Amino acid sequence: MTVDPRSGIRDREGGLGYSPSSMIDMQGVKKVYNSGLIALEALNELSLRVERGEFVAIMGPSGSGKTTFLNIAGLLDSFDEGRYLLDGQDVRACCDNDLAQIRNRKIGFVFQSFNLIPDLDVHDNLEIPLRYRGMRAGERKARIDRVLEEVGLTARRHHLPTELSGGQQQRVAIARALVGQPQLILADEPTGNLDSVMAGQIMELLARINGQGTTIVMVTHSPELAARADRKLHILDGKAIDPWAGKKRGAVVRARSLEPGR
Amino acid sequence: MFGFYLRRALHSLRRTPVLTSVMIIDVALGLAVWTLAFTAVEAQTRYPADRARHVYHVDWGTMPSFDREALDQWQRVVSVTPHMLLSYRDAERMSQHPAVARHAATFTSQLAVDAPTGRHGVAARFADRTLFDLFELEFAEGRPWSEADGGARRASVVLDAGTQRALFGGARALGREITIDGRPFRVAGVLKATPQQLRAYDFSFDSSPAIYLPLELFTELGARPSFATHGLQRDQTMAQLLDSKVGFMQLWVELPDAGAQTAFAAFVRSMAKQRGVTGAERRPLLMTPSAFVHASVPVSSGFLLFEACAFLALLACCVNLSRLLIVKLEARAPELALQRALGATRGSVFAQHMLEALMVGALATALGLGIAALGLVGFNAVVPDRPVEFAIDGTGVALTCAAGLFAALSAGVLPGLRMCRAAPASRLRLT
Repeated sequence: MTVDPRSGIRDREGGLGYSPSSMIDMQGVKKVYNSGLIALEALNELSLRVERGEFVAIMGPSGSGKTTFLNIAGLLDSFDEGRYLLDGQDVRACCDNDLAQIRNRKIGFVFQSFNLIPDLDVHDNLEIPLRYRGMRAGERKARIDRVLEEVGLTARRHHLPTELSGGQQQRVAIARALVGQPQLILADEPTGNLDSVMAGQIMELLARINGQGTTIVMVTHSPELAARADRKLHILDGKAIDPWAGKKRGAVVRARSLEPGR
Repeated sequence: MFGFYLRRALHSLRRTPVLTSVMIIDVALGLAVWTLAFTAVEAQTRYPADRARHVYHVDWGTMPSFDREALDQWQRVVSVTPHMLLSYRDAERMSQHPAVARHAATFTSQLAVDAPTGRHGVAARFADRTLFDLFELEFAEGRPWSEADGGARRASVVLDAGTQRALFGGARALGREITIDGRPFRVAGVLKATPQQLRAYDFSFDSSPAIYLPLELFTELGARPSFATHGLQRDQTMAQLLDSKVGFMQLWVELPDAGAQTAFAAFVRSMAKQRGVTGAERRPLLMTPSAFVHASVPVSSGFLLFEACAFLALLACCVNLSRLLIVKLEARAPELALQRALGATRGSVFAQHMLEALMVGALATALGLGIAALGLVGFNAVVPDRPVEFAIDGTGVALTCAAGLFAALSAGVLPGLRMCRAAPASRLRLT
């Protein structure tokens, strides 16, 4: 039996079975939605690995299983078969409280529709994950100040989401994802509701965050946006297909070369 | 975190004002109906002189061996009340126990009274003078008989307001005379009118108006008790009655503290053993006036049915509130799912939801109490022939609050569990 010294996970088959550098390591993950007599296989033994610090774009047609993958990757949904190690931790062995803690500390979410709470202002929206972490008010404020400055919304601190443009709302959503200093950001069509100028700004912001070492997995329909990622993956009929397998290095170099100051 | 939950619950309630109002009104109406019913039943058995403190009724704590539920109301009174009576000698012995600070022995009889308005059959209550003090009975005029009256004490009576009206036709009675068994009695005092309110030492609120006489006179007047245990015989002389085991006396004792209560209860217990009383202590040996009333006075089955229906109505309101909370939670589901995505546990989502349900319950309780209070004012105004003045007391308020809490918790649990069990992904607005 081999024990990973970092995560403490044991592999009964004699090897570690995952790369210690993986942020996401899914093997044979299966997810079936049962609706009465109909069983819909959303993920069909999907296997993929996302390394730490990678910026991965997930593409695929509607209904291919992209969002299901993202939900499972973000511990927002369960899966039926297979194995999922998040940052070396087997998520199937975790109870609900552990999963909530992992979501709170390790994962940041960015949604297409922003998902800001409409009756809370920018500051209060950003405060939510920190409150669940049990952080003191002073530390919460310092973190929020820092992250608002990073996304350029310091002046909008006390604005309600409805008083902001779509791009600004998405920056708030990104700030909320960042405020907990997560290792992984899962973005589901983050530019889907934005015009091309705003979309460009958001992509630059995500690239900058990735440049600071945060792993980003982004679902997108846009090949242009996907081209800005280190690596592109396709999900088709619930399986992951890596069209750039063997050419990954080049993709990484190309994506990172777009970032300013790198 | 509680402050955050509270703010979220308030925001949530304010976000859907119509639905929130419907939920509050729904529970408030259920609570109001239940409170009205509860108050009506409670009022029938409520002891009005709540000021009487440390006063206890004493008996052996026996119960009839047959099924009380099968009896009608009157049969129940007749079957239960003899079990609450003591023989003259037992009452005398108990009242002399050193733990007893003050005592009042009493029983009722029927007497023919000659008054200015003619001859009347009147319920007569023979009692120690301390009865007036223990129960703090208020006098409209005059006072009870006392030792200071000397020989006059033995010829003094106290009337209640109803008896004064019956015997004197509404004219002033204080100092005037009535005749009982050919013997003149002076009216020493008249009790303040209480609108047919129950007195603890009476067995029911519909007892006829009464006159109060010194206890020691009952043998001279040959007054035979209205209620007694088995063994009372028509040809029994008064001397035989006094020395018999026939129970006909109520005994009220004042026990100023817990130590006195314990010592006195132990004494009664040992007496029961000595006397070979079978089935003692099936009820408490010592009962507060309120407990005594509840144990002895039957409640109208109509009122009980009303209370049962009101409770069902409250349950129906809870079910309805539960459904409305599901609707409300569905609207709030994306926000709660988002909170779970950001690190909230199932427990914290459940706590937030329950807090919201409890806030609905609290507002509904306040509104329900207001509606019930108004309802009782209306009820008192339109029903002149009511047994008592209906009003919500502290117990009623406390029980309504408890019912409001019950309604909120019972209605909130299922929707809350349903919500927090769902995977966040199923509720999250992704596009």
